[in-house]
Amino acid sequence: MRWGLVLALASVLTSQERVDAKLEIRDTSGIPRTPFASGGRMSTLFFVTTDCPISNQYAREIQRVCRDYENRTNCYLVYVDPGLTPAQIARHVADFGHAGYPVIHDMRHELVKAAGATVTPEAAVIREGMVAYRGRIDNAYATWGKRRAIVTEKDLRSALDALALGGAAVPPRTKPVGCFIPPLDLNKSP
Amino acid sequence: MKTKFALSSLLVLSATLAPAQQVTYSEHIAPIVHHNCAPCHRPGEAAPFSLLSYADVAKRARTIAAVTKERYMPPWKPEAGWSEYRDERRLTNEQIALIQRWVADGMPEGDPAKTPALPRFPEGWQLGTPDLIVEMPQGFNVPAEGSDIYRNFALPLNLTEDKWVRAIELRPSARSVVHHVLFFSDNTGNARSQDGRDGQPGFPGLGSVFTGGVGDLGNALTGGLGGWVPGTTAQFLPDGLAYPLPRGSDLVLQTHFHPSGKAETEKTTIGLYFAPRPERRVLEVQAPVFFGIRAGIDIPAGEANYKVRGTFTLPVDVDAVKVSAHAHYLAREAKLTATLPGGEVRVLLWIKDWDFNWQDQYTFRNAIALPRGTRLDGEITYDNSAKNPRNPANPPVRVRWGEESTDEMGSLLLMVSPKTEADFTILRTAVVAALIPGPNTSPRPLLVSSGVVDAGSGGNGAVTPGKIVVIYGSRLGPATLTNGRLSDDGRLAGDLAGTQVLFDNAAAPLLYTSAGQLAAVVPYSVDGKKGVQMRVRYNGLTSEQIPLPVVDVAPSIFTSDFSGRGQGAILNQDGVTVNSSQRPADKGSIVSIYATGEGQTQPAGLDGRLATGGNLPRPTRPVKVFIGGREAEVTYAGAAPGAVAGLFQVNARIPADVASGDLSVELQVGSVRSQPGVTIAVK
Repeated sequence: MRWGLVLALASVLTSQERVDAKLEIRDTSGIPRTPFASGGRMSTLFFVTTDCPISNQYAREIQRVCRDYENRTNCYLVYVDPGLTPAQIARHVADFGHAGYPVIHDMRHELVKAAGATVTPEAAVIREGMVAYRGRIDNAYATWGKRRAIVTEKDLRSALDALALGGAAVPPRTKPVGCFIPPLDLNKSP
Repeated sequence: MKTKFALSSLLVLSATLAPAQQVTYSEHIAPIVHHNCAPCHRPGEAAPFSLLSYADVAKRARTIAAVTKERYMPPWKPEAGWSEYRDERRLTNEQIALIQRWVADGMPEGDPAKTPALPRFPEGWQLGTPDLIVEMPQGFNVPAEGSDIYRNFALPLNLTEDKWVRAIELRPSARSVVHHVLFFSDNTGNARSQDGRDGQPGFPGLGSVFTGGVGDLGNALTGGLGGWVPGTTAQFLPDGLAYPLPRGSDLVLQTHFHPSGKAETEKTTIGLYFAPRPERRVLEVQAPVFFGIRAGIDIPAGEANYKVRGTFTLPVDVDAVKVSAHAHYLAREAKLTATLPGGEVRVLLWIKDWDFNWQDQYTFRNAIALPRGTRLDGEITYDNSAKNPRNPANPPVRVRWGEESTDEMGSLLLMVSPKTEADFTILRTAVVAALIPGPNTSPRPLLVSSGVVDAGSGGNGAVTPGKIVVIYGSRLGPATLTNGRLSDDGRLAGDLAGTQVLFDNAAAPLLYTSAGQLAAVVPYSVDGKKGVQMRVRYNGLTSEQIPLPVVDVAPSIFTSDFSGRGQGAILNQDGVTVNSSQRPADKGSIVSIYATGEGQTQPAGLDGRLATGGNLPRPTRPVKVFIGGREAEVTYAGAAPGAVAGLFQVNARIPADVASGDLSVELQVGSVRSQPGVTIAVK
């Protein structure tokens, strides 16, 4: 237990990554957004894709988190698959009931790289130019296909609670379970 | 851990691929994907995305590498090497290693001209036009999220004559939410009367065919009408067999829905394929009988390794056609063995990672003849601890037999075909008679391991003459651990502090015993047998007997932490220092590797004999050692001097041209290799 705490503290000190607060990217309706500088508020980015079943199963929880924490964080829904068309994204947003936050198609993986996301679904919370939390939304999936009957760790909510009070997310990094985000440079044969 | 995997994969690869050859999509990966993934991963089928092209696959390559390595995909639960089934979707270790290497190398496409053509997948009904097509009259609404839903739908068939069904094919309208479907018939009207009572089509519950009013008893005895899970290739029952479907029956679908994140409406279409009245009938036998209703399932909260067993002895000759298991969320392992009258033990199904979501039915590639007197032993292991992520209760609670998904059931189900109508009647009578409860037998020694655990590899499987095994349970021996003793004839004794372990009727020499765990050496009298019955006796009370397959050799190397993986139990050349990364062995030096499972020896093994004097027993089969993938010179292979028969020592010279570090070490006796993942430290 004590070791866990020490490790968690150590990782708080070492693992936060700085992001470029000025990074600007247009959302799917063409409005320029600066998701890493949300006017003094926290930003929560959700990295998703259309065809990952685990990512899709989190749609409603993403909506609930954004509603429950709307006073504390701005939400961004980030589609990571560069091959998607605007119509496919619009249809997915409507089908899965997303509304009330900007939708971004991160075609060049600017947000993926800056936030360090590796899978969908994955959440990243930015506070004061730092990636203050990154990882799973909760522990519903023990691994692929092994879904917990009862969710026991709501990691993202715990992180948002702690960060909103000025503290640190403990742990600041968790291992998300989902579909790996594909690299952009696929066709290079060595 | 990762290094070890990489090493063993490389070893595997070296057998199939010249080291310099590049793994490409077109030549190596496409054939695997086309055959094993694309049947479901294509438009209109069950899987969530298509895997038909290089772009499809490369984009998801890292995920594919991860889920194939975990063997989550392709979904195939039975352990390899025991029984062969139709349409096996399992990837070989070599295929998994190829995918790993392709992804590690950056997913090169290779020459697109070399990519094989996609197989031609049939459009529409996979088995051709059905004889009868029925559709759910109304759609069932599945919400965007929430728990899994079990819903039964009664569909009138309006049959005016008895029919025989050789296949049922299912076409869901919302594939992303239909997880699996079991088919039953009901000629009682019971299911129909419940349908729609709560305002939605169908009725809830996962009641078994015997207890919950889903289907009728006659149908229950024949095992329902089969089922559909994603990945199942629609197929006809083999050998002209068919399920009975009496006139006036409703078709009952028991559908498992899985909310997908998006609200959907499911309106299933079903195609039935009829056959002429078959010459032979089918019947389902279960062990434990009746989904475990008499097996006394009562799982304490927190218990991680709870076993339920049941047996059924076949009163007539049958051919076994297909096998499946049934249990709910707490089950972890399911195993069905057949002990033939001659003593041979065959494993008909062994699932070590039970998943309620993949309730497949496995049709044997060739029907298995089981003569009269064959004993079927079914065993289910449950994990009711908080560490089981699927545990429906947190904290865990006591769980007993019942129909709800929070209760448990447990049985192995075998569809068999008796040879004559008279035999069919005898078998059906025996199935019904098996419902009568047996005597209570609680204070006996209780075995919790699935048979026995190989003391070297930590795995379980077949035993060999002289194999050192560990047996777990309760009431196996005294409360405090008692070490082995020598009997008057100087051999390791087969009775120790009141404990005996019997393989058929031979007592195994015991290395130690305690209430919860003991270690024994399998008697040499199992040599040449194909199966053996193991029992533990403690203070006059005898456990159930556990059927175990016997093989000639099954070498396994002991490891320093007895986990079966990592640093091997190896002495350096000085004979004193234990090999470790702190004390690595020099290249060219001779090390002693400790193992078991080498099988019969020359002179023949004597149970419990200590290896002393000259002419130490050597294995009757040739022994090879591989260090870092290179064959090493073997300077001695035989009984470990001073130790009990069954402890096997191999002295080998570390090849001069291997790398330094933790290298893989493998032992081969005859044609069988020891477990992968064992290492030796080389300077």
